[in-house]
Amino acid sequence: MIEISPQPIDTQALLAAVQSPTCGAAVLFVGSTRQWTDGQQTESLYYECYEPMAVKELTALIAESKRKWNVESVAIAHRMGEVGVGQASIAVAVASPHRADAFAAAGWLMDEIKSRVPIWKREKGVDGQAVWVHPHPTP
Amino acid sequence: MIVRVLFFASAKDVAGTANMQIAMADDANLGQLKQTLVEQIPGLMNIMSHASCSVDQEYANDDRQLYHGAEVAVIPPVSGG
Repeated sequence: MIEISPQPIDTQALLAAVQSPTCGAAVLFVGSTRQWTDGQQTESLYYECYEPMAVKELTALIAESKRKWNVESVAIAHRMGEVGVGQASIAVAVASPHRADAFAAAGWLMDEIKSRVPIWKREKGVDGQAVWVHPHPTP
Repeated sequence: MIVRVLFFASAKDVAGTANMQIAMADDANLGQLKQTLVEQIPGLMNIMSHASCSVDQEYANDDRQLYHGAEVAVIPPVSGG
């Protein structure tokens, strides 16, 4: 399940979407807007994406995570537009029969999402300055 | 041939548009399109040296052959999450 939407993320619904009687473990990762980065105070983040390609990339990552680990179900939600301090911008839920697979897959998925899925954030400081965050070259 | 080019994030700001149509020779590849983009929009030079590109929503190398109607995107380093 993949959701890209300007609506707030319902993290409990995402978790419920992956849980099943055959899975003894479910991991829910939630990433949210951090107030301080390198001494700079953030007011909000603004996200945009290349949606058809983002969905393709996320679909491929979910399939790959299921090949690499014994994972039964994965759900990913990414919020678009303005996301204020403390609010969730991304949530990844993974369910597996045993916890090691769910923990490993969730961590790997976050790393891959941050390095290759075409989504960008613009950081708005409390000083009103807004800059695109372009951390490192995409593959 | 005509290809459609999409710009995102800082590339969109510099290009001043989210998308444009661009005419290329029929045998042009992605590398030649990138060269043409920088000639037409010199401000993109710095971004293009760090950006990736996609053709039809898949990451592509400079030697990727283009075709009439292809959808190319300029993808500055991503920062989702």
